[in-house]
Amino acid sequence: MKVETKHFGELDVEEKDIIFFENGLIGFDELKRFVILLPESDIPFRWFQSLETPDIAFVIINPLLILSDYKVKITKVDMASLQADSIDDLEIYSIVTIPDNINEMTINLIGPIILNSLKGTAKQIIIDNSNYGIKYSLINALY
Amino acid sequence: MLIITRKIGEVISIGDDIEVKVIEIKGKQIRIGISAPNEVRIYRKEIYLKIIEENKLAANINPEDLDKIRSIWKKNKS
Repeated sequence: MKVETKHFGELDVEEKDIIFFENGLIGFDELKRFVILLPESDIPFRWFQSLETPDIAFVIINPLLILSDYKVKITKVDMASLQADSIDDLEIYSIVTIPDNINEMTINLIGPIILNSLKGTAKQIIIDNSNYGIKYSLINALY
Repeated sequence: MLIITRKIGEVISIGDDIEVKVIEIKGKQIRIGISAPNEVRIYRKEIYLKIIEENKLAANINPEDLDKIRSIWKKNKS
């Protein structure tokens, strides 16, 4: 199917690449369909494009690349709603926030996206754990 | 919203599986104990609101940002 995007023009998206959030993103209930674009293969950041709203896209990254011991609790209910048979089917992504000053770039460790890559289902979960912050500085982690 | 008054040590049951107990009151703070099945997510409401806010900030992105990220990432990796 053809999809209009603000930054990448018109894209040809296959059904199998569509990621479906049954409950949308937190605060964006109506945004249920996304696609991961990999415009850059040399860096681990991915572009996460909304299919319902061309203007809306996020940058995401696997948080384990930043914090190798990052742990989240996935419940049986999470597994069921993601239609996942095994934890191994799941991938985790953090949403990156990029302010005007790129050095203040952060990732959200308390609202990760859990994706069942086999079924294309996903949900954003909340981790209420004081060990993790909503604005975890990437620069501090890199240097 | 159902409003109930409780004393320290008293419990509120929600459905068959959830209990909320008043543990302690200290000045303006109340310590609450909650038992619920594993599946039920329990979190402070302001966390939920913070995530909504952060999602909104994160949605303001430009492709130029990816170029900037690349230069920082590569600078670090070399």
